[in-house]
Amino acid sequence: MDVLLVDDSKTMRMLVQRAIRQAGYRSLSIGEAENGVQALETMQKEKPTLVLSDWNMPEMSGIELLQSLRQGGNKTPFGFITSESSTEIKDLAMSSGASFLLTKPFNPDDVQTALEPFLGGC
Amino acid sequence: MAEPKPFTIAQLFSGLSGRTVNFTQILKAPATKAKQVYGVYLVKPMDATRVVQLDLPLLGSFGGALLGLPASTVAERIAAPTLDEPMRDAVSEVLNVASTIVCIDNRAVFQTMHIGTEALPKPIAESLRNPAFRSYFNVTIDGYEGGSFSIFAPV
Repeated sequence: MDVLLVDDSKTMRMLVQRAIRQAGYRSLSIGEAENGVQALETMQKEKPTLVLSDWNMPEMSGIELLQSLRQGGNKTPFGFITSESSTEIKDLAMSSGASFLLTKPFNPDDVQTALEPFLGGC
Repeated sequence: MAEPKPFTIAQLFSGLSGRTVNFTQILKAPATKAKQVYGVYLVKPMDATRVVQLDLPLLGSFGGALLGLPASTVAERIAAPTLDEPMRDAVSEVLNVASTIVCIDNRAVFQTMHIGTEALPKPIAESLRNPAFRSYFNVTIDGYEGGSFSIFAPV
């Protein structure tokens, strides 16, 4: 699996997948999870190159997922795609080990810029 | 509180929907006969409430644009007694993304969506009668039905 997409909105998972394809990453293997708990379960079986996660989700939020991964020694690159845009949230994301925070709404260029350091050019 | 600018809101929704969206601020409450939808937000760190009220056809237009549905299909879907799951999920996401402009001074987190005035929790419905802040807009979206959009800060 190249990318694990974590968002409680099926619509947003579809939009992110579409943006990833439009950014030129047409052959990536993309897995999905509806919240942090599902993502942790998936990551016990799979080792994605990159995790893309929403912030606010039921069961386990994106920041809780990231903190759980880092506390367990998992260093998989992690980026947020969220409607959260305040400085305090960005600071918390980065200090917890996130590589980037992409604010909704986004376009394929934004996605390509964010993904390229981890997935290479396309 | 700082007022969200029409251009800023329009930019957000244009970016989200991929359509040209225009917000025009109006002084009086819009005279609309459309079914109303309410998005309730929690503003941090003071735990204040903020409410977005908009026409269901307008919210359906944004949701339909996200899903790639034509306007005629959107009209059929929102005319149904209950929204189907894909449309409900899409319009919820529209309200979630709107949290960015609901409060520009502080962080707002989308909490719940209520379709129809009768579905709005009573304390919130009562607080909307005399809000501390209100902002009204007429909205157009290219290729879809527009409508009215309001932001309230209940007392």
